[in-house]
Amino acid sequence: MKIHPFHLIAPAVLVLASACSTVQPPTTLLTQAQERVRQAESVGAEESAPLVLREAQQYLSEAEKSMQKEHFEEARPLLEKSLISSELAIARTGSQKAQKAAEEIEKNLDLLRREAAPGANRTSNLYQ
Amino acid sequence: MKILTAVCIMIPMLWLAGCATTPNQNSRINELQQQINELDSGPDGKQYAPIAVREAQESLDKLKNFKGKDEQYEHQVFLTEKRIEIAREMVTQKQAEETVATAELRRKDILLDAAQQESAQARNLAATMAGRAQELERQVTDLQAEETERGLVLTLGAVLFETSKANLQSGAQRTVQKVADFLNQYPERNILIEGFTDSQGGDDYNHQLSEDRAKAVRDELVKNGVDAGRIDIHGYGEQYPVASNDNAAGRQQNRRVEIVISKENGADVSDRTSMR
Repeated sequence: MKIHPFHLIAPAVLVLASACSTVQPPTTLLTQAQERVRQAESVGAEESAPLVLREAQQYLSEAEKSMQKEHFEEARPLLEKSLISSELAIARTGSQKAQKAAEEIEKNLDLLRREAAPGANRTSNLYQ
Repeated sequence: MKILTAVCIMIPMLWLAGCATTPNQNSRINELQQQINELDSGPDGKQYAPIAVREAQESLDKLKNFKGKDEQYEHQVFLTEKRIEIAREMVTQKQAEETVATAELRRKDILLDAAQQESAQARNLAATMAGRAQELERQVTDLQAEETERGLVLTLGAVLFETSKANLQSGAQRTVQKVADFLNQYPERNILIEGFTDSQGGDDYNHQLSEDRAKAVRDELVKNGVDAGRIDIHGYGEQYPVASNDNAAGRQQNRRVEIVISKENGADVSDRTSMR
């Protein structure tokens, strides 16, 4: 029996078609991912976590393209990736802000420790 | 049709092969588990971000029991790695926030410490001063000094000098050195050295001799580190006798050098002539 290319393609097409037809567009997830990217931008991730933020933005734009082509199965993991990348960007921004504050405090305490040491010259007004 | 059947069988087979956990995946899971374990608690056993850590663990647990396609597995790995990173950031943030929150407490600790050290230092200083006052008293007694209106007067007896000579005898040098040590402890006080003789010999000669003796004591003091600028000298000859010149014992008492130390820091010792 002669092998017709159709014999190979048909099952694959069938599998794909059945997958597509049952998948609902992940619209809620899309909204969430878009909001999360905006949130990351608004807390200052552009400065504190630029690489992760870019990742989140790229996954989101790929997901949006897939949605337009109605490749919902493809869009879902992309949206999940975007969402979690945004979360990381937000977490990293928060942690960097806290670390900066802690460093500042640590510096002040060091200064105080040096000034409070007996015999030290007191020049600044850390004693209020 | 045979081929179609074969293809239909092979697809699920490939699928299953993808599901089976390979050694490679196992080592990856172990690695991620290791990372989570390191996050789980701080050095003091304290959990800084328990929720984020639990979420990372749940994500990894899904991976451990994963049944699905290779690409879905990779996706879950991606999510788990990100969850671990998020948890790590949360832990760092909480630790930093703790540093900030405890800063006020630590600031007070530092000040309290400093205050305690300072009061200890003040006590030491007071003790040192008291010790020095006592030492001064003891030395004054030692040198047979006398408190007068003009200041502290030390009398160096005539035994320090040979008759008609102005140079100090060797035994006298130790006495003068003691005086010098005493003076060096009170560098702000000025000194007047007064020389006296007995009534034997002419006035001019006695005057010169008394001055020479005063100078000899001054030079010895300077040799022992006393600043020459603090010292004035005066020769009085046979004036101001302290005993009768009629007998040898009295005359010996009259041959003397007196060192007067000012009462106040920086003040000059007043002259005898200006006193009365």
